[in-house]
Amino acid sequence: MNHIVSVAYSELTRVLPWSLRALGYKFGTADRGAHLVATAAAISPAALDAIALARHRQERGPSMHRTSEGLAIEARDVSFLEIGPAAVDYLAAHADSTLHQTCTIVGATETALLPAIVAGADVYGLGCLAIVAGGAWHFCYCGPEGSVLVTGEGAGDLLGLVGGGSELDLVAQARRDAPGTVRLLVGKELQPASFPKGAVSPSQLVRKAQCHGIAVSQVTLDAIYSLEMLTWAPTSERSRSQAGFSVTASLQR
Amino acid sequence: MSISPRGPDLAEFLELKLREFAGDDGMALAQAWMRPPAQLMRVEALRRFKASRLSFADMLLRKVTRERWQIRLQWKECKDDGAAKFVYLIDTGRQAFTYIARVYAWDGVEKVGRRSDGANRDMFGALFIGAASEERIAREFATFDLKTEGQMRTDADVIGWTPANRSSRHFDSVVDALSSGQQPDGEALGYLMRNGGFQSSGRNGTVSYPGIPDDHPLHHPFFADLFAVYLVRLVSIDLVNAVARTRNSHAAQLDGSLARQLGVGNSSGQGMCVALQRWPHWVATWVSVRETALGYIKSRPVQAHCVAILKDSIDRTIRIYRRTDPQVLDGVAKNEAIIADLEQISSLVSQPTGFAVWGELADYVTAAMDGESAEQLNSLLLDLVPEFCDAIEPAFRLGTECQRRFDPAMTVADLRDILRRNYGWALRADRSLAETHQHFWYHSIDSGEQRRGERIIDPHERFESFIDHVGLMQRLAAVLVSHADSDRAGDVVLEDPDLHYAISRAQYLDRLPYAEIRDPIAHRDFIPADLLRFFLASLGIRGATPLSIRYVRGTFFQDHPVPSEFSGLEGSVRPFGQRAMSEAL
Repeated sequence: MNHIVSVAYSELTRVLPWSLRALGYKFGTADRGAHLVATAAAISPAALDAIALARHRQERGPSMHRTSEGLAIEARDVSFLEIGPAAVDYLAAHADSTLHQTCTIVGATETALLPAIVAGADVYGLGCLAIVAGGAWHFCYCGPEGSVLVTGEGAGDLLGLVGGGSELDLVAQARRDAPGTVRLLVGKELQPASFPKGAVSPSQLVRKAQCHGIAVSQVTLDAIYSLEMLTWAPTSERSRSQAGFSVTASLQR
Repeated sequence: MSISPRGPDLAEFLELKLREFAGDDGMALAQAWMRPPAQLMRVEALRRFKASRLSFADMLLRKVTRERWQIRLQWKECKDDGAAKFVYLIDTGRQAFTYIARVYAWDGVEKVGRRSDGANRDMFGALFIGAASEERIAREFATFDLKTEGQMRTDADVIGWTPANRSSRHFDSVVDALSSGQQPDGEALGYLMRNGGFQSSGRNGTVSYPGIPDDHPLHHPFFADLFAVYLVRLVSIDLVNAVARTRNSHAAQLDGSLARQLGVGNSSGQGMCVALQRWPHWVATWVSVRETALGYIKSRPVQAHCVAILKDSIDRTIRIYRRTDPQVLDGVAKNEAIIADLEQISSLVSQPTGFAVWGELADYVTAAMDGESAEQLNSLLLDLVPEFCDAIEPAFRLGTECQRRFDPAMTVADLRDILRRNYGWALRADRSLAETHQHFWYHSIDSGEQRRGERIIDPHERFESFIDHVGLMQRLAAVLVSHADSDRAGDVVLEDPDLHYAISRAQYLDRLPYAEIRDPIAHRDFIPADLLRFFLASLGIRGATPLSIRYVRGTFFQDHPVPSEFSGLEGSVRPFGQRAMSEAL
């Protein structure tokens, strides 16, 4: 029966590193990815459903080249879990030299993580905008009382929000992007031109999740735990023989 | 000194307090007595750490006693087969919260207490954030009675569950004695129940630690865990009294002095080593706070009134060593040897010895006696500066709330500087022989816990728990060499996303000199029990006894106050045994 249960934020950050490693991610990526997914679930619990259905990591990683418009990342079948935060880090690393830094990511999976990915720029004191070609956009900026996240559909709403400046160019470029392209923009001065409707505070949502848990379907939670169990191993006979309560010191000192 | 707008970090806070107590000159003297990380952060040094007034259990009980928490048993039910239910209300003066315990009929089977035991425990308890309603309590009891791992889930109004098991060695004999109207033999009595591992911070749906309200008295590192264990201690006392009464309405109730002597048994396994590697800022906090306090007392002059306090602390500690199980692991000092050293120290400080400051005594003991005795003395020296220790206690919460942060704009040149400054010991480690990184830790299906395997021989190396910080930093250093000095951390992570962990670890620990354990945990010769002893001493266990190189046994809260000593209210705690405890106190 697929009923709804509550999963704790810390439960996710403890279990997901293993679930993600079962999907083929290295420790460092899985460790970071667990917090990313937990934050995404705090913003929208459906993100967990996406992870529960995620495919095994492909051996082939992303390829990158630099263009006049910025960094272009070809990431077919690469998860945003891996490439999303790394791209934001790259853009944040260089955001001090020009007003904004942009890149495109093509073909990456698990777009449900994008709200958490753009919210992640907040720890660097930066704003971040992600535009999915022909789809949703996610905009997170530093407000007076913490970060603010807005999500919408269509270029019209986004143009109304960002007003003018270089963001306009980005929106125009995004309109020409092929399906499957996500355009990322990171900058210090990224602020909305008008007060956005439907805005949420990612940090408050995380706080709420820490206090009250996150509603998730039993099936999804079971799938995440099932992935985790793939990383558990039977105790080998040799290990078993050494693990008990008997005194087996001596050899090593 | 400038302090960041966020408030002081750990080092800043400790410096503030040290200057406040010692002044500028005194602060420099105290800092000169602090041992360098290269000496202190070796397994050989950490394994000798002993519990002190800056251990978590001690800090918790001082708070409980100072604030005169009241712990009342509101309701109980006990059947003649040993099954029981208890409902307690804890009132701290500012907040009230509920603890419930469900004890199952005694099946006569001794349970080891591994996580793989799942629901097969003698007892489950639930510690609520606030006062729980009757309906909520009934629902939690019903959850416990499912007794099926996987189906037992609670809500975020619960801080944690306290699984525990009876000690077949002591429990039956105590009940038998009480039922026949006698007091049990106190000589061998250590505990009636064993801790089964506090299940909290998200486990089974419990609240995440950061979700515990900031002003909650248990919103502090390890306070919830340890208070829950303390409550198991109360349950164990109330349980033997209740079971005895079901067998004989005139049964004796446990004498107060015996009740005080009882703690909660604990056995910790090698998985705890993983936690220390995973959360190096915990280690940094524990060691920094203790070493700062030690630096302060070592710089203070030897005075007569402090000598009396020290001798009293030594006497108390010797009594604990006398009751501690024999040390059977090679390399662990025998209890008798430490007792002899402590007696010699007590005698030494009773005479005019020429020690001008306490640090000179500590140095003498370090040179002349067993290393464990020297570290035991260090722990006891903290009793001489209780006000300073109290003043720096907030550092534990401050340090633990420290978060791993990544600075994407840091240049590769600066990253290399950090590695050179803090990780020279790791970068110079010769890894050419397999024995230097022979072991790995993994989740065992059989035990439900972390086990240690050998590379090549044991499966699942690719899912090893993070333990090899030496290998991590060597890899980071190698990758950084392939980058230009002007490249940034963000450039490195774009090419190697998994290095985010290594870089952020190096960056956020840069200001925490006592963070990294400067020995390879994956090395063939590393003994997990060594770090377990360090962990357990930090928590507050005295008389820890390694049973093997992988397990350490000990007892929490033995000889610690029972509620009637601090509640100050008639009728507090003890539905049973109340009179006996009061008389004893």
